[in-house]
Amino acid sequence: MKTSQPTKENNSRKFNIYMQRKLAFTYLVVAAVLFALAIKTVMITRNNGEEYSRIALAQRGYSTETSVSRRGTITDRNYTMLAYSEEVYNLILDPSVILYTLRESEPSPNKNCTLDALVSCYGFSRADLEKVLAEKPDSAYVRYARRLSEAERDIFLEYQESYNSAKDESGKKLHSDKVTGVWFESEYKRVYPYKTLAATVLGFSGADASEGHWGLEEYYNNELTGLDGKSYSYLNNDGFLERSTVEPVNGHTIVSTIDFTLQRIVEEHIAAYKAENPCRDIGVLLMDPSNGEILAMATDKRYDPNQPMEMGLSYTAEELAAMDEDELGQARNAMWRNFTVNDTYVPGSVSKELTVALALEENKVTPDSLFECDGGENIMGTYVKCSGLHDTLTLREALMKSCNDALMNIAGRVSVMTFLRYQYEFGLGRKTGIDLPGEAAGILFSESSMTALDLATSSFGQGFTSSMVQMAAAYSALINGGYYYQPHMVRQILDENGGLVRNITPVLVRQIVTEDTSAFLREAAEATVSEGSGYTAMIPGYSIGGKTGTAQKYPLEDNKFVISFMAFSPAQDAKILIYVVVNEPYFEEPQDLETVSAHDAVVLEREIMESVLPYLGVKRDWSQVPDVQPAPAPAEDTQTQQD
Amino acid sequence: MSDRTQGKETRSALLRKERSLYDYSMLFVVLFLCCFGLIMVYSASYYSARVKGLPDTYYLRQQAIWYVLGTAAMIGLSLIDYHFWQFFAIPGYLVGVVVMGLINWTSLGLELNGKKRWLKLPFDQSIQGAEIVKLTVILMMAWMLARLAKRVDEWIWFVAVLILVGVAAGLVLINNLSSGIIIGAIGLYMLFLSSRRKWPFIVFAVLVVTAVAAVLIFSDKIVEMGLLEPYQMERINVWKDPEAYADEGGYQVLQGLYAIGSGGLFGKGLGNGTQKLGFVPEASNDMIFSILCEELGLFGAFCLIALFLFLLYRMMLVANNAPDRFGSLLVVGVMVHIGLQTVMHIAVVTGVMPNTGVTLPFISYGGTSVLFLMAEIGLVLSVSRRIRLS
Repeated sequence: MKTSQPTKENNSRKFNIYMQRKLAFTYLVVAAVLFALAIKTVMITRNNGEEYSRIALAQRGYSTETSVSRRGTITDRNYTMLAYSEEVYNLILDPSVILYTLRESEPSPNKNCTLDALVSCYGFSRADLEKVLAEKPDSAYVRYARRLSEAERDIFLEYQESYNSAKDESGKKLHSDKVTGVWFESEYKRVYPYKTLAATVLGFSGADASEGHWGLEEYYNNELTGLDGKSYSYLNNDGFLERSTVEPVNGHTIVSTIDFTLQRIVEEHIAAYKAENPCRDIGVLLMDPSNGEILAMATDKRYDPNQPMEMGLSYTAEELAAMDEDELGQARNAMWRNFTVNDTYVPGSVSKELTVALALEENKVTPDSLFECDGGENIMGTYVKCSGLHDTLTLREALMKSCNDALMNIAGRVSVMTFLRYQYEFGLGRKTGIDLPGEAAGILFSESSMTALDLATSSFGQGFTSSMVQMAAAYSALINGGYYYQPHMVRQILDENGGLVRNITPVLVRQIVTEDTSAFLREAAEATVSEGSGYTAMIPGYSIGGKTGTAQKYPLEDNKFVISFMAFSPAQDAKILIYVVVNEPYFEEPQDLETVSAHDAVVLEREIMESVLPYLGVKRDWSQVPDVQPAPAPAEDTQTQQD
Repeated sequence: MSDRTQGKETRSALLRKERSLYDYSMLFVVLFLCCFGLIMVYSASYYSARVKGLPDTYYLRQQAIWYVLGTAAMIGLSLIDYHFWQFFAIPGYLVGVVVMGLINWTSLGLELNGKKRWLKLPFDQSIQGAEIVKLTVILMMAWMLARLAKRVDEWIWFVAVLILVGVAAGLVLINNLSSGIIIGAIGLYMLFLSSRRKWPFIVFAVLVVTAVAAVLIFSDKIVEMGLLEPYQMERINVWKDPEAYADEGGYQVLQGLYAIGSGGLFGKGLGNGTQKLGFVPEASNDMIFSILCEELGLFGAFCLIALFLFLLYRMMLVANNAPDRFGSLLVVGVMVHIGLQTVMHIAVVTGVMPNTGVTLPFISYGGTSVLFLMAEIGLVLSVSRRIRLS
């Protein structure tokens, strides 16, 4: 060990006090700087900690993929699929992969065989493919073809697999290049298997099957739409890539009240009628009067919801050629429109039953009341004509013969206030709440605007407007004992596996008339068909009740009319209510309200009724069928055929 | 003490038993830092190792080998009388200069990540020249300033020392700005400590401050004049506003800040940080402090800073009590080296200073750096052994 005795000389060689002070000072400076830096880290954490934590967390999420949920199915009441979604595939090009080269100067090794594959599998134009690659060489996503079926997709996948793994005899790879940079993205396509059938009821869904338009597709969009799934990768705490998937929840299935068979029958009859009888609109509703379920709903407008923009089914080529862009748009909307719900019209004589019902309820008339018809009445200086000269009538006969004079007399016995209150009770002038979009409410008089003349004309259905659904719902209540059910289109909502999500039970809104009034109206309606103005609707062997309607549209000078017929069967325990409205029928000779006849509408109704009743299992009383010899009749019916 | 009144006997007994101060607390702090460094290196590097297809523990094992070598060097050196190294002052300095020359101008210089900083060694090994120069400059300056004593204030010697420092720092500066600055600062500080002159240092300090200010204010013109490389200018821009210059490298600075900011008071827990997963660049060396902040929080960062302050404090004590000026200056050199690197590293990571790529002593990944730092600590311990407690 060296010895260094502290001597004077050595002292000057030692680290003297001056240096020690400098060093101590420096140490303090360094300590202060480190302290300042520590403070800086505190500031970072305090001021930006939350933000930075979020960023740091967000950065971990890698490649998020959405897996699209399937839109729910729509079925008829017997679970026949009317609309469903089918998985289809979009072909995606990844030019950055197809054009990948090791060095920029070299040609892309995989380009040729990939293009060959696409051309040979799908017959794409090679020039067009080249153009796409040249335009977006750095892109990783070019949607080149849409909606290939699974089979079409597999053609390419098989080709790719066999090309890329092809080996010669020695087990060496046959191709040095590989088919790459093409992949398929799945999406859903909406399919309506029966094409035009029930298009008006169903509506249609957009190109990607995501958003419904018109009909049930629109009204039940939320139920039909599922919840898209997501899958994403992230790095876990140990630095391993993990993938997490949230499965998509597919949309619910809607079970409609519509009966496929009834709907088809109705649509066939409408098409046949329209071919013979030109008119602006035809609407037909089939309803179960005992619970408000709509069994069929159709108009004369036809389109295929698979191609909702195509108008060829509702318009002729000449008509379309003559239209400009705006007119085409309007025509398209008219085609998609549901006349039975979205439009209102002057209901006419069908609403006479409502007037009689309210007078009975208010005890202003009784079934025994007598009325005098002298061919018309002068009200406030205006002479309102009746369709005939009916002399003395009972209340029942007033309905059977559809006497305007008698109805004006009846309406004259109630106040404007009472009349309007009953209209409101019967669901007129307000939406029924049917589960379809864009329901129209119709226009009624208000208490202040309604004169005695208005009251008189309203009594036989002139002067206010209603929709078909409103009239059918009100009429159903009048004949079923007075119980007003909300008309509705959907019975059940199921999940994707068919499990019940919920039942939609008929909603009894209120009782609008008493059982007695209802019984009287049923009888009167039956008599109207058997002996009165509705005799055309008669189908021997069935008990049918009904009421014709003819109305003149405003402005009256246009001489446009609405003819309609409301019928139900069996008359005393109705299983079905049929309402037919023909809007603006074309007549060869000019008509007025006295001469216009609902005959055509009644014929249409009768034809539908005749087809529908056997399907519904309503028994026919063959004894009542005079001319027709029954075809091989079931054994149990033979006894009733005696006379 | 009662011993004081005892006679000659007791005193001779004391002399006989003369205890030397082997600074165990310093030794343990350093060993603790090394172990802690290993853990941090593992935590910060396993992901990038995996990305490169290496085993998770690849960098950990590499570093562990260097720590073993370093510890051996440290303990070995601490047992050798430091005066022995006086004779190596000039040769060592020359070796450093030659090594830097070889790296800069011959094919023996190894370029990694676009920077020519390594000297190729046989058996596929390499060594970072700047680390050698740091040690040799400390040795050279300590020996020379101790020899010169008061004569250092004579202009000729003063300038001679400046030139020696300048040559060494300049050679490193060419390819490694931060190490050049550190070497220059070590030399200048040792000179400052030994000299009684004030004005040259004050003038120098003013010049540095002015230059830095000028760079910040007239940055564009300075690039035009060719005084700064565009990439260096970019770093300054990034430092001034990392978000605006995210593409030029601000992204990396920001990622470091995100790491610090997301750590909170106690951090996400050792190994649980997420920013090292490909976001913070150089997570296991230039940016390791940010990973430490993320995983151990402000608490961990404060503890680490406190450990470094304690280490520096112990060194100051050793310097103050060293038997001779050579020993003192050796310790001061090491002290400046460790202190400056710590400050610079933390300043870079927290965005206070432009990114220069300084490692955190004992913690960061880097073999040469660890080996030479521990060798330097060995010298300090050797000095501490010569301090006689009486």
